[in-house]
Amino acid sequence: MLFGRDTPEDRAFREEVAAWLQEALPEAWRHHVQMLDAGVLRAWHRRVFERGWVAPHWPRAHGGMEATLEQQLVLLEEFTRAGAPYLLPTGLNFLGQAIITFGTDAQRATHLPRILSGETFWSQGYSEPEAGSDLASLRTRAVADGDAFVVDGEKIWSSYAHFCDWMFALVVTDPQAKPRHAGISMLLIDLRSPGIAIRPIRTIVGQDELAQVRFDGVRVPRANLLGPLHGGWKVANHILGFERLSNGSPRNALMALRKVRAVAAREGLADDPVFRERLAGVEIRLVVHVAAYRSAVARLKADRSHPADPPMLKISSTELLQEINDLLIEACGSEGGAVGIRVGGEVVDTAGSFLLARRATIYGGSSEIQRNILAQRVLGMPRPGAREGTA
Amino acid sequence: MNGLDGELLDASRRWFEQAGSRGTLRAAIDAGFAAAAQGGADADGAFATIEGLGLREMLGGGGDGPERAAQLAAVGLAAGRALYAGPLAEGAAVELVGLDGRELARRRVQDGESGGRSRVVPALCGSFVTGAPFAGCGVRASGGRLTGRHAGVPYALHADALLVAARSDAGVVLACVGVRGAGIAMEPALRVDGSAAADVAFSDVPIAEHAVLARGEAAEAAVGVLVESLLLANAARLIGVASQSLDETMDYLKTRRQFGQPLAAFQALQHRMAGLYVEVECGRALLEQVAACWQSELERRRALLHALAAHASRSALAVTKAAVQMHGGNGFSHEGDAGLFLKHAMVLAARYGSAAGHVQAFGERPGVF
Repeated sequence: MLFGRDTPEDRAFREEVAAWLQEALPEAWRHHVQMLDAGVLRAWHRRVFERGWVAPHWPRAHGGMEATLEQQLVLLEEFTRAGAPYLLPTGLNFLGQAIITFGTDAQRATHLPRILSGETFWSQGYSEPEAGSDLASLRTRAVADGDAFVVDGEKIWSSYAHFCDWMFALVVTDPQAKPRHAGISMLLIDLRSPGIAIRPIRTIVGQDELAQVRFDGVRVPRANLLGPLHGGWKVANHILGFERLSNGSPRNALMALRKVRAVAAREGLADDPVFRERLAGVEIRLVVHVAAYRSAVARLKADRSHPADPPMLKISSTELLQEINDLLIEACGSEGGAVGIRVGGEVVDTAGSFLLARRATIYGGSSEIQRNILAQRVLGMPRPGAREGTA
Repeated sequence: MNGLDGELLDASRRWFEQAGSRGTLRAAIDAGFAAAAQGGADADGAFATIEGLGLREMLGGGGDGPERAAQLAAVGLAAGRALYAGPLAEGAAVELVGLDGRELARRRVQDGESGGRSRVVPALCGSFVTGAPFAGCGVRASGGRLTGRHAGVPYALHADALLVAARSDAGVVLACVGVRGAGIAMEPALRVDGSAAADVAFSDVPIAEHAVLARGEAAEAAVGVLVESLLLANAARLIGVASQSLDETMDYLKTRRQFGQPLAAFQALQHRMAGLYVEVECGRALLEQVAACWQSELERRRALLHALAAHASRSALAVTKAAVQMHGGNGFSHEGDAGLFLKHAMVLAARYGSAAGHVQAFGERPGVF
């Protein structure tokens, strides 16, 4: 534990987690910059679920561990240390919370167990070609038709949608609403429904991480409305808080730091005073970030979350991640542009790590949007544009 | 957002404000070098605020644990916000190393010096940022005498006595030495916030046996505790300075109007303030976490303190520079307060090692991840 000593219970738990990972996590699945093999992701999720550790932050009543702060941090640290694949957060961290809070009994009964077990993988349908940061201007329509909605439109940048089973999507149910977000609803959509076309999108990392999803007259049962009709914006905002806190996890930064050390060792940089100072600088930034993360998670657990926490943590973790990756490429010296760097018997994907990190400040609300949120909603600065004497 | 003792923080803030700390700092700048050099004439003034607050009593007998660290952090934050520039942890050095103030006074009366309420500040070896703090120690103890020099000792001009760390053949020595004794010379070193440190020269200064408070490993341990407490309190002050500076800048941006709207409506300034807010709040979280884990094993605690010191120094300078910028002409004018914050931040940010020095010291320790 970075701050303070493990209690005997924490230490015992840590040893238990480490031992289990040693045995249950195959070498081939470890330390990937990004695991996109659906088979591996499903199999790994299943293993962690069967061990009972897949939802440490969920209430026990809904199948979670209701773990203490220390236990959650131990799991984070040990899973990161072992290089375990990232468990898809869309169901576990985002939708799960929303279904617990806003879902009907039937929705909870149907979806929560399958989120936990990994039987259902979820994707998020928010952004559209014409609606990115300005999400409220989204256009995908859902028109009531008997016991269903008929959905037409398209979503873009949905992570992993091409191998997910379901999607939670924001749709316009009242196009006349003012303000616009008062006419938005959240629908749970089975991606195997007729009328859905999914096109994977290749990113600059060279992987099909994202997808575009078209809806052509897709029938979605009314029972799949999550939260009130026209009340989807509130559900989405509820999720956003958890999303940004999740994005604020130090996991990716810690994994990148490991790569920096490996490459630096190979390049003999450990004794280079300039490099050492740069490395110490980013490690200090990581110490600061972990402190902030720990404080925020403690507040979340005590139900005393501060509205500054999600934007602050997202800004801090993502910009730090990019700084660490900058250092990673610098450490490669003249091989900064190489596709991979051989370190001992292993190939470290330096370029992939660096390029992947570029998305961190864009997705989940860009750094610019997070700063707007901090400035306007937390610090009370007025919205730009209103001029003296105008209505 | 504050996990520290909220009541102590609020009470301390009120105390420093009613003591008029900001006005005192401004007056010290206006009075100039000659007045600062005569700091010794104003020992009462320099110590009155923390004596009134009862800081020494608060810290005395508390042991070296998270509670005391949290108290020091809370008072430090309050002091920084109020622009209190006098001694803080420095004025409670005796209590921080676990000595009994009355016992110390008794020993000093034995020396023929005035006992009473001794104002004792630390005069420690060289740099706070080296891994081997005593390697370059400028003062040697030999044959019962001190020789050498401690540069830039904060608040030495205001003190009655110094808690001096020195190297001897038998390891480190920690001794309490009256400033008016033979062989001690102080050269004032003015600081931009109107305060003055002193370069203290020791020429064969005799130290009575009862003035030696600790030797060898015990002395090293005591100095270690003192160094860490000073670093913690100093970082807290820096974060306090940054917090108040940021708040006052925000008030200015929301009030000042140009181009038909408040400055706060301009996105460039919104983004800048958001970034600075993140720096300050993350620093506050680190201060809390470091205070809360004060019992953790020494190696890591020292590394975390270097991280805290580096962050606090760098972010306080960033915030106070931005404050001058965002106050426009008023920021650059001495009439406005923005410059006071910047100057005080400059002094605190460098006092126990620069940000760069602490980054280097952090890097020289075993990794914490």
